[in-house]
Amino acid sequence: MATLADSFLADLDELSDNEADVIEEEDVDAGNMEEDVDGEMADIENLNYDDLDSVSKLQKTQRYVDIMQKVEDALQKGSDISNLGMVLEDDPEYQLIVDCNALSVDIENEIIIIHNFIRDKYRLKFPELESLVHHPIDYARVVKKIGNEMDLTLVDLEGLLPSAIIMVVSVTASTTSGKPLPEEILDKTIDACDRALTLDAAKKKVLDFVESRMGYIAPNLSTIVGSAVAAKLMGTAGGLAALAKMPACNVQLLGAKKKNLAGFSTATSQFRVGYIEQTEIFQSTPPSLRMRACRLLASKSTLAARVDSTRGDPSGNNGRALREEIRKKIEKWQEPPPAKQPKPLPVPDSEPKKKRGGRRLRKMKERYAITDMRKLANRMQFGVPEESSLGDGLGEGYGMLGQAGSGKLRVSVGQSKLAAKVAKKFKEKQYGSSGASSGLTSSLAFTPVQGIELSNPQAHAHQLGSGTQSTYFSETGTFSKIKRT
Amino acid sequence: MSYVLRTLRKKREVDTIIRDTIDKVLVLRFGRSSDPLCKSAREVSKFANVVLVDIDSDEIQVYASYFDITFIPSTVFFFNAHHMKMDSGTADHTKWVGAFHKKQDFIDVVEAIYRGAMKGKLIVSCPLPSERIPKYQLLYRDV
Repeated sequence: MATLADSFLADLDELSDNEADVIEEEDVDAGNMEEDVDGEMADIENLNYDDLDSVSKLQKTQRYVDIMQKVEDALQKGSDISNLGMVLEDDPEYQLIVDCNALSVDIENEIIIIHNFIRDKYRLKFPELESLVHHPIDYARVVKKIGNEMDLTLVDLEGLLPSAIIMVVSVTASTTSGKPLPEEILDKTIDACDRALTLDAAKKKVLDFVESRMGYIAPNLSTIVGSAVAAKLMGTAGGLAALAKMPACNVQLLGAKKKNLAGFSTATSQFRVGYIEQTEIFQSTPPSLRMRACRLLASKSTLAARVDSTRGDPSGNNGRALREEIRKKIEKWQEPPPAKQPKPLPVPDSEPKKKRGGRRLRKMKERYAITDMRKLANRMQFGVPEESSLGDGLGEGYGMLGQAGSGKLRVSVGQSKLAAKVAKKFKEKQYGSSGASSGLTSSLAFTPVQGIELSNPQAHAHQLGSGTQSTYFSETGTFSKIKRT
Repeated sequence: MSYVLRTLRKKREVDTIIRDTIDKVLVLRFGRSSDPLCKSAREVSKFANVVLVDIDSDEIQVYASYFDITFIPSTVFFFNAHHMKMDSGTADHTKWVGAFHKKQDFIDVVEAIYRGAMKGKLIVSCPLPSERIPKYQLLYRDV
């Protein structure tokens, strides 16, 4: 799957980007990047070559062997009497720890390369497995267990994967499109799996060693999050200096697992916590406050890491103070809110009514606005007695409504101002239509004086509509466009 | 929440309080000491002052006869030292006779008095429907 490979590469790029500022490890990372790119390129070419050694070189390097040897020795020696007198940078143990950090990052990259290798080889046999099992080490273990077996009921994956995933894997295997691998490819694949597993074991050893020395290297950080998590954070970041340079939001996400899909809803997944999740403080907060606690922990541990990277406080007091602060804050969040005081009623009529405005209100007001018909009926012509509903001045007067010579034959529903603006936008499309509003209106009208009156279409162009329209201000026009000179 | 109503026993106290309550409705409740009006006093406190006048004290009898108070409890309303009258459909507009049915009724009455008073009226009409108004009959004596 090209997309998975791309996402892995992108992850590598991200990790490298975080360390880009670190001068000490920049060339190491550059070397790694090149190695990765070469490895990936070589990997693609190597589909024909099938040679693991050209892909994964780390275990053969001298550096790896040296450091592993030193770590073994140090672990054998047990806890060292730390020489506080010496400056840290000169201490060979500190140098070893720095190397260990770099090495653990390298090992991780190497594991990913090998994972790609295994995946490509095993794709012929069981293509869906890579999307079901994300973690490289788990994948390697599963591949080793399954081997060339076609029937997954004979394979016992208990303990390697969560049972739900085992079920999905078994079901997928029964319908897979893969074929059993030829012997040499199978051997090479198993070989690669073994190598991945040994690398993983080596990485664990390195991390154990770093963890045991954690209290000496980064006392403040280990007081807050605990030495195991501190070692993991340092290992993933690629050193104490690198960890110190990360922003707190990145520290929060170090070690975050990728989402395990397999058809499960993501609504229940724990969002966006990494190694911080394993700290004692986090585990002891109630679930509702966990997100806030995680952010708080990440920020304070970043501060502690920064103190440690400059050796500002070798005794660890800063760490203890920060831990106390975190504890206090979390306690304060859990306090119940203060009791509500019943308020007295406000003085009547002291607060003026809030008048609302806006388009919605204007539209509502239009329903009760005075219509053109009513306006016409309210006005009268000079010297001309108006018609009335009951005749002879009794009943309601009609005013200008229906008077001969008013220009309009029928007063139809006037366009509201809002509708006029909207209509203006589409008026380009409508220049073909005539002025008639509905198909049932006729151009004839019976007036009391002259009998029949025909509507004159040209008259509309000259007249300013009914007498109700403003003669000065246009009801639909806006300011014309004024060009800047 | 125990908010004990201020009880007045002397004529001078009544005088000062009528004079000193500015821009607030003064509710003078003529009655006995045990009165279930205290809770609403707090709610209304931004625009009203509720005070209990002990009708058993000697000095207060002057006021009792001035206002013609015979039924316990009776309430008289003042605003800025003006006596506010309320037309509640009963015979006597100068005071409110009887207890209130609900706390909200009391608040409504005080609010109506306030609004009318702010507009400058000296008599307001009662906002309550007639079921909520305690009914009584006026008996004239020696007339």
